[in-house]
Amino acid sequence: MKLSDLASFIKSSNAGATTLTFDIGFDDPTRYQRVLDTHAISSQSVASLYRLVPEQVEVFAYKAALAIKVTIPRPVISGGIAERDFDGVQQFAPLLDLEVPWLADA
Amino acid sequence: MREHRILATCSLGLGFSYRGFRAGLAQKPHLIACDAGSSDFGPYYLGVGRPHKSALSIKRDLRLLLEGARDLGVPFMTGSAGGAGGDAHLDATVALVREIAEEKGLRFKLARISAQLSPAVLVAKLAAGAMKPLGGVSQLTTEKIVGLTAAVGMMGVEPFIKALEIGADVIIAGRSTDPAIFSAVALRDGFDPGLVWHAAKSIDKGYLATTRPHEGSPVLARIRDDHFTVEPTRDESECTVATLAGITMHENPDPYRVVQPTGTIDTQETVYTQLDSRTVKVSGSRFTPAQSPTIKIEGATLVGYREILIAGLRDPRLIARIDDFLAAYRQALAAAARSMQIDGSDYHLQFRVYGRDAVMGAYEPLVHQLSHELGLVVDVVGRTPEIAAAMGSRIGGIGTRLDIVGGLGGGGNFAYPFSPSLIKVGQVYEWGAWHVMDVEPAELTGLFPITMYEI
Repeated sequence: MKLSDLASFIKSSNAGATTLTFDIGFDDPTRYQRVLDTHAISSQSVASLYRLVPEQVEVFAYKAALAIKVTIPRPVISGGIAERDFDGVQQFAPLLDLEVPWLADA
Repeated sequence: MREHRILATCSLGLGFSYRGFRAGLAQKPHLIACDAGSSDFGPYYLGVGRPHKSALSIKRDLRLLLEGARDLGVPFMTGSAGGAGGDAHLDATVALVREIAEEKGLRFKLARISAQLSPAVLVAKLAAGAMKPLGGVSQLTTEKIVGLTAAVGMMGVEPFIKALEIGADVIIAGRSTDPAIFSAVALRDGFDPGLVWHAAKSIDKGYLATTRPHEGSPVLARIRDDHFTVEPTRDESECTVATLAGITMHENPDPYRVVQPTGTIDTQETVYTQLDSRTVKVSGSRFTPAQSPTIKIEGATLVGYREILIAGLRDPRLIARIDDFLAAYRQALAAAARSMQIDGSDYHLQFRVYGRDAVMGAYEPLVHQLSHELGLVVDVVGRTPEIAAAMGSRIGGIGTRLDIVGGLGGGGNFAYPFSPSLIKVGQVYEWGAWHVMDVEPAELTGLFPITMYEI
């Protein structure tokens, strides 16, 4: 299943001026836990989507908000001469199609 | 059991619900506070010394906050005044406070707390090895520091506490960490730092703690000895576990840790409970003191002056060869620059291709998937306004007549929506300093001078 079909929200934003953070949220604890357990969202999978090395990708399981957070470095420090998206809010598109192994819901 | 109540609105100038604010005042808060700025808007505002929001919108919010606080006889505080929180921004807000006091006949002791740091201070810290870059920014040099247009340090809670001790009723501070603006009274009154800092963090963006931010509800934190609660003060609004837990996740690289000058707000053991449909109870939050205090530094460097051209491309043969076109375009502009004795290092040329990779750049996976139409933004930054204007004057003529598909015959490549097609954007700044600075405990207040006024 595509991650966009499983998540209730997928967003990106700057976290400070030097990192980009993605928050992937779910509606209910069961779905959150199931997606987490597939390890479909990992340093490796995100690194390959964004052409980084896994060491540059940090993944956090944040149960309190039923969200998985992923943080990567920004290509350039925010707000500079080569800025493309200074809030970093339109950088999440590659995550939408991330394949999550999923058997049909019981 | 004692209870400390903080009434928080959103960032100054964004507007909040009047009804919700009056309801909040009726709860008899011990402190009314709001944030007033951010570095999110980029280094431009720090560099040019202008507030991010309009005086009218700031004044509307300020008037309600000041009147409310004076009516109740409780402190009002705000930080990162004017957006970037430098002295120019701070003074613009202080001027509005004076206007409102005059118009409404308000009288109070005002503390102005400056966050602007001189190059001398930063150079000394650099020499002492006390400057560390945040993220992948380059190392500071004395030359870079001296070249900064303006620099601020993000003050923590100490200057706010000191201003209270001197007798301030109203505190307008320059650049501060968000939660520091809300923590002073509760910390001084001896409430648990873990609870105070996390409560402050939870309310520091006002209505973002609610499920429907567009309702503009202020929020009220009630801090007790072993927990705190957060509720919206506007009737129909709601705070939920999801919105509260989401706050330490929001724009933060790590959902469990929020770093402050003197320690870290740690929510790894935090428990969130939905008390009723609109109130959340929070317990278990910790404040882990730092080994030694640090202050984050933000500094703006003027990079140049920008002029842009926005053009639509619709020729499929041109679009299919866009990379060849842009390479030839860049070369032709370089030749034009040489003809005007402009050196390649005096200008920075970027082609932003909307419809291909303008938004994601190096991260774009679909870079080869072209649209039938491309939006080309030709972006030239010159070291001086004259260089920018000289290059700007050539980009249209050269680009629209550059023929790589053959048989152009008098038409042009560029569909201009605007006349004038060349747009002067203005000064371009970068974060020349984005560093963490080691400080002595005394510098937590020493670096942020307080000036008191009898209004």
